[in-house]
Amino acid sequence: MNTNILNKTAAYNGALFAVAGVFAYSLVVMFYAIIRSSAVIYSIMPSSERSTILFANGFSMAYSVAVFSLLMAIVSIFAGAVAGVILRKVLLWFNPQLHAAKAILVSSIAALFLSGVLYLLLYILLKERITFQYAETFLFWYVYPAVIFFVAVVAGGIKLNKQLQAI
Amino acid sequence: MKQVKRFIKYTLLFYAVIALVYWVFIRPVHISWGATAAEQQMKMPADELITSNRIVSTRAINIKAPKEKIWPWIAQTGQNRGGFNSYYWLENLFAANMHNADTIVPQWQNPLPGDTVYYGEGEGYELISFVKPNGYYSLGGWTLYLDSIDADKARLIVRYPSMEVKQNWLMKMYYSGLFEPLHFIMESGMMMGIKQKAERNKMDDYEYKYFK
Repeated sequence: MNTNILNKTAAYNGALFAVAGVFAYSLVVMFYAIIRSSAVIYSIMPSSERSTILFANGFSMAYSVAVFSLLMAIVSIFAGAVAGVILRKVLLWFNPQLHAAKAILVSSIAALFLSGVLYLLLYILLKERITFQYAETFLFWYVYPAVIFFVAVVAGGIKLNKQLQAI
Repeated sequence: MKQVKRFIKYTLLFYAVIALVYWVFIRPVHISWGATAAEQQMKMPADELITSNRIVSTRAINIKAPKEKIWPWIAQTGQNRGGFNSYYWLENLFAANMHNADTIVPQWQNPLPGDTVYYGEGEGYELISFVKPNGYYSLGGWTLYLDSIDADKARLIVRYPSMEVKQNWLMKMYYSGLFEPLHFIMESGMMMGIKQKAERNKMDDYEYKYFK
């Protein structure tokens, strides 16, 4: 088994999953923010002055989220690559027979552990601002992304297990 | 993995289109949204604080209310006062702990030069630089100016100078690439929020609830 290539593959696939996760979340946020703010604008502005501000607000919102999303994607490349390599190692350690059901369990535990590590890092940086004391901030920056991260790690684990079986 | 790669590729393409539309069509409009050429050129109280290496925007909105009805909402601006009348749900994604007051609060009706106004809880703040009841309110170089159209209508004109960016390409990139569109969203939201509250007795409760 060529472990170097597999480590690289795991890192590459992990990075791809992470970027896709960031983009998917960003698109949901983008459309939610545009729709919600547009509803506000629609209710306030007279019809003759509405279209300019609706377009300007919508595209500014979309552009801002896109820029944030690209910045987050750069960070997530590293996080995804590390997660991919860790996932590969734990799958080989705890599931050497490469059972499909066990792969889901191991991936889920790895995802929970990594989410916990991520939370600790965020807590060190942001303290009480990343707790339910600031519910919107906590949900937006940690809880929802953690759910996407969990799904991506489990999906990645299933795929990685199949790749390892194929060797 | 092909589907994942395709999704990333099309998202990047989508972002590129958004950026193109923003820079070609939207940015030139939002920098002076609603403001006439005369309003963009007019002198404002805090202009003396605006140095030449800043990017300046001037925006304006019609409000169907006299200045005296608009002023109380401007007077209580600030996170540590009555909020910014903008999209609080966006501000709170960044731990601003923003709450927009839905009533006029008497103890916040006498802003004075030198008073501290917070943008978010424990975050950046600015001092009130110039203030004239029913006339203008400036936080540093950022001015909210009221101009009467007639007895029942007024213009709210808002001038905002960026941080000093013109001589620093990194700051300029940060300002133009991210801060400026976000500031436009929040500032236009604030202007519409003030308009909504000042005109409130002419609108029904269903419309009002969005900015509560």
